[in-house]
Amino acid sequence: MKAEKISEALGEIDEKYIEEAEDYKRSRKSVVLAHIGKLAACLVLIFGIIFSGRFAYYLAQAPGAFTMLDTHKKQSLGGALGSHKPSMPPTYWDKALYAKVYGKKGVYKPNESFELCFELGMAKELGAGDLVINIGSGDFTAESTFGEIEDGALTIEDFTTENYSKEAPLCFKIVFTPEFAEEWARGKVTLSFDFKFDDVEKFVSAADEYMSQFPSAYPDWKETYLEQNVLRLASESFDYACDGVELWVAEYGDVLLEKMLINHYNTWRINKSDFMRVYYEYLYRDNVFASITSYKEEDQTFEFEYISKNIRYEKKGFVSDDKIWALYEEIDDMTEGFERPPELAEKQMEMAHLLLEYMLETGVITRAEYETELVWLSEVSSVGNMQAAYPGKMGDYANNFSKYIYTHKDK
Amino acid sequence: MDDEKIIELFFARSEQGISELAGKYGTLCKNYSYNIVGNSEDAEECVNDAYLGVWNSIPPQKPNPLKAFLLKILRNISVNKYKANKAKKRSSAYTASLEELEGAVCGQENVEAYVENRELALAIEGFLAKLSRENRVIFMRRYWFAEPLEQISCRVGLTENAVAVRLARLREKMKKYFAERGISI
Repeated sequence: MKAEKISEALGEIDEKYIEEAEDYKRSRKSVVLAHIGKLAACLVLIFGIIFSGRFAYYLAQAPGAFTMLDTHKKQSLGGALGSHKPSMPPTYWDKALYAKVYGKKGVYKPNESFELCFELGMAKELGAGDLVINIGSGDFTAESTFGEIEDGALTIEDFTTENYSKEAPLCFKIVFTPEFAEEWARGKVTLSFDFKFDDVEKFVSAADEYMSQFPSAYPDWKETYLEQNVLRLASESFDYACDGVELWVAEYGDVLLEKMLINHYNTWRINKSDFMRVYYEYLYRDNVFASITSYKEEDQTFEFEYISKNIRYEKKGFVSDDKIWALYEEIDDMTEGFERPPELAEKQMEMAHLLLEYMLETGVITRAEYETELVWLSEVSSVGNMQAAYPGKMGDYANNFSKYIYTHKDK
Repeated sequence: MDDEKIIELFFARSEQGISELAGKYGTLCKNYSYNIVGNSEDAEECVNDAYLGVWNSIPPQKPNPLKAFLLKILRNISVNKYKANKAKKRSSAYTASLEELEGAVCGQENVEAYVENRELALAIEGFLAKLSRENRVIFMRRYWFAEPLEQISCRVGLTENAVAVRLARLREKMKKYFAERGISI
């Protein structure tokens, strides 16, 4: 019996694996901030998550790109949700993108928005006060299991990646078509998620079609679009940054490359020409994911990593405060590995204070704003909790900050 | 008592070493063996045999870590017991884990072994080394410790379903890994 042979061989493996498995105790769930290794990420976590969803929103607004579903009507199909009766349509619904779920029409919303995560129960306040969000990583294997449907949202519980795996909820808001609802109600449906980047293609072709109607206005619509839209979005949309591109591959499917590029551009890892070049090189291929995968296979050091190392330091001049950069390096080191040291949150708090001071000094915020933020910070145990406690006010603050970044970006 | 002192007792040929070993790892061993053999009596017997195995091995061996050493001996004894039980058609959690593994390997049935155990063990180690820590633990808990999914899920903090899905992927990966290396079993 083959399995017995494997089992026997297993009996001979190195004891370190036995010891590891025996002694393993699950570490605490990653605190969202612990994922952040770059200064921009710190900034973003402090100020930027509020912007998340904006990119999706703009994409959704792109001409003919996505069909927004009538969620009110669909959600009234409460029976399809079994005992989980949907609540009122959530506020973020209009930002949802269109995706395919097992060949059925569904909608998913990237989970980067704190508000969204919170609303969907992916982020929660723990007793001790830490904000916890599980973030996906790694190459995308989407045939994941999922948890219960709550208010019409499915949370995929598990992602496995090529190099490591971890809990990585990705929220799906399933839109139940009548047919799908029926199948669901009968328990005949096994959900599996099918991301083939149809939406990217749809998006590109729809945009192409739209632009082609105005040949004189858009002789080269892609450039125009990039210049006028993508780069604008890049300047306006912030997201948390991650150490590698994999997260983006994992989480965002159809918009992954754009988001990845935008993120790298926003976080000073790549400059504009790199952004444009890579955008062209990959986004307009038939299958973005395959392109990235094949690229990665060809060269294990993904280009972005190389670029980021080189660009990061060149661009850091936008914040000239040495203390901030020293702290940034420290935080960066702390987030190198998979395990995050407990003092990371403390350092991030320190970073938040330093940045506030810096922003005050550079006139980005008024003293009153500064003091208000300080009060908020003093009331929470982590930067993430600050957002949890004051989501509305943080939005304005993040706006100011994004303008600041944008203003200084090309200097 | 720490492992080093227990080993010292074994070196001194003091039977207190076995008592200390049993006191420290007895429950763990019994649970582990139970997963494989599927009944308490056999598990206890295997555990006692494992203590004897340790007694016979130390000295000259001076294992570090002692726990893994003990578990390894216990596993071999328990697997042998399992095989004997299997002939009597008694199943256990180990049966389930074996059945899962069955599909995870390619190759021909009922043919001579193409690879030696050690060679296969090295290949498995290579595969394990490529996994994340958590995945490795899940894999080991299931296929080395023959632990039920429920217990694994508690240990790693995932749902049972998530563990099952992850194991399925790991088996698939292992299959691919072996296939790529031309390992046929």
